[in-house]
Amino acid sequence: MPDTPLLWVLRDEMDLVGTKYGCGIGQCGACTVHLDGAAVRSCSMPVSSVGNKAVTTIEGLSEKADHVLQEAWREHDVPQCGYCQAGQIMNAAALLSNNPKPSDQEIDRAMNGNLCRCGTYLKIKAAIKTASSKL
Amino acid sequence: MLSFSWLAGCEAPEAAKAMPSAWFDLNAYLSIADNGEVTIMSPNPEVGQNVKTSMPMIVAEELDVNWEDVRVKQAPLNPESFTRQVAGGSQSIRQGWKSLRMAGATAREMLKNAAAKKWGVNPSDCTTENGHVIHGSEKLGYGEVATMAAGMEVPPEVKLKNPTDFKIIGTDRKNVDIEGIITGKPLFGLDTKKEGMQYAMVLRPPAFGLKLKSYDDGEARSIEGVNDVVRFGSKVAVLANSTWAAIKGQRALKAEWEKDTLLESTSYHNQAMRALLDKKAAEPRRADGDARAQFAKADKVFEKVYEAPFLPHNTMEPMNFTCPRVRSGV
Repeated sequence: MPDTPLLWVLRDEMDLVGTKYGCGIGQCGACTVHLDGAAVRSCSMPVSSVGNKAVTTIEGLSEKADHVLQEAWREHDVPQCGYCQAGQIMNAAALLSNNPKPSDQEIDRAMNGNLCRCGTYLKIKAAIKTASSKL
Repeated sequence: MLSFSWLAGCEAPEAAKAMPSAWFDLNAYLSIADNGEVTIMSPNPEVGQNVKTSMPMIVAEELDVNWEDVRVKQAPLNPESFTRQVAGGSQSIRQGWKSLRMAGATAREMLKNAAAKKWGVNPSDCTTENGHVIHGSEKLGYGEVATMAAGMEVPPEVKLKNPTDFKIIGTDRKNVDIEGIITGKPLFGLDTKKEGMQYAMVLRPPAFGLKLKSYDDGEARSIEGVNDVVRFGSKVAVLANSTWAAIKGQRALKAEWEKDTLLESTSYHNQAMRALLDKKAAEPRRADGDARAQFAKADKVFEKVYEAPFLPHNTMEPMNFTCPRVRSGV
């Protein structure tokens, strides 16, 4: 079905379940993936609109789980339940590739749409800053 | 509670150091492999409170092993072996504390008894440290005595560690699932996949106090991928080949609702709560000091009433479960 959101193609058909289903209406950020490097909400993006753009999910962020953000996530022991974290990392990765040295305000603004029900926001921010310092 | 989605399919494929060839269950909480690797079951549902890390830490402490040698698994629901397998009220550690420690300490005692028997010495002359039983200059790894220990009698009484000897409890350890989380491994209920499984979405009454009057599933059934529409009670489930088809089917259902019992609302809740308070039937659960006496002594008293509405305790992962189909239903 061409109206199938990218999220469900990834999860149901390609078995790439790292990208999460949260709200289904682009409000929580759990389903964030990259489309040609830009962060998009895969739950609200019909697969037919992807075209020839490159899709990157958490599974493909790095080959050896050594992206600077994954390293920082380990260092700060960021996740609690973990459900939102793939979306957080993907959103942060898009931020750092556009702006490797974001200010506190720029981090807050960029990450504003990614909810964390456990409240790991402070650790997320600290990890982004650690990652940024290594770029 | 939230336990359903966590019980199955949350076993993360982890890279083992060396493949153990046999595991020995010492009790419901733990098993030890012949190479010394320890698997500790975490009895309660992990919902972000980090009990999947902290509960096994307590077992590992009393067992006297290196935390690095421990692998953690989510325990299945088993009321005979575990107590209170729920998440709620910040009680997991408080109520699990004793049984977690006992599980570790009992296994440690059995390992010690097994080693003592092997050496032909008195168990009380043996000590344990970092996954080993020690007697003088002799030393046996837990893995070397695990098979024997598993057959030993369960000691009726065991001595718990003195908190001053704690090496794991009270220290900061990383979330045991962090690698799976940051690489997008299947860890959650919604990530479960089974051969030939169907996906269902359920339409529920939009408010407490409403029931289903009638529904029209004509449009839902015409959606590609939708296999069936089933009513149960006041709910209607759409079964489909994919999540998206199930979502579209659920959205296409046309339902009419009617009043069943009292239609609940925040104002009704407040009213009912106030009526209860006015009856003065409530008893204080805790009383610190004498607030009334302090107010009486105050220069100025400000009065303000605060009310908190009934809010859903929403999760990021939509509530879900996977179940096998049996002849009589699901």
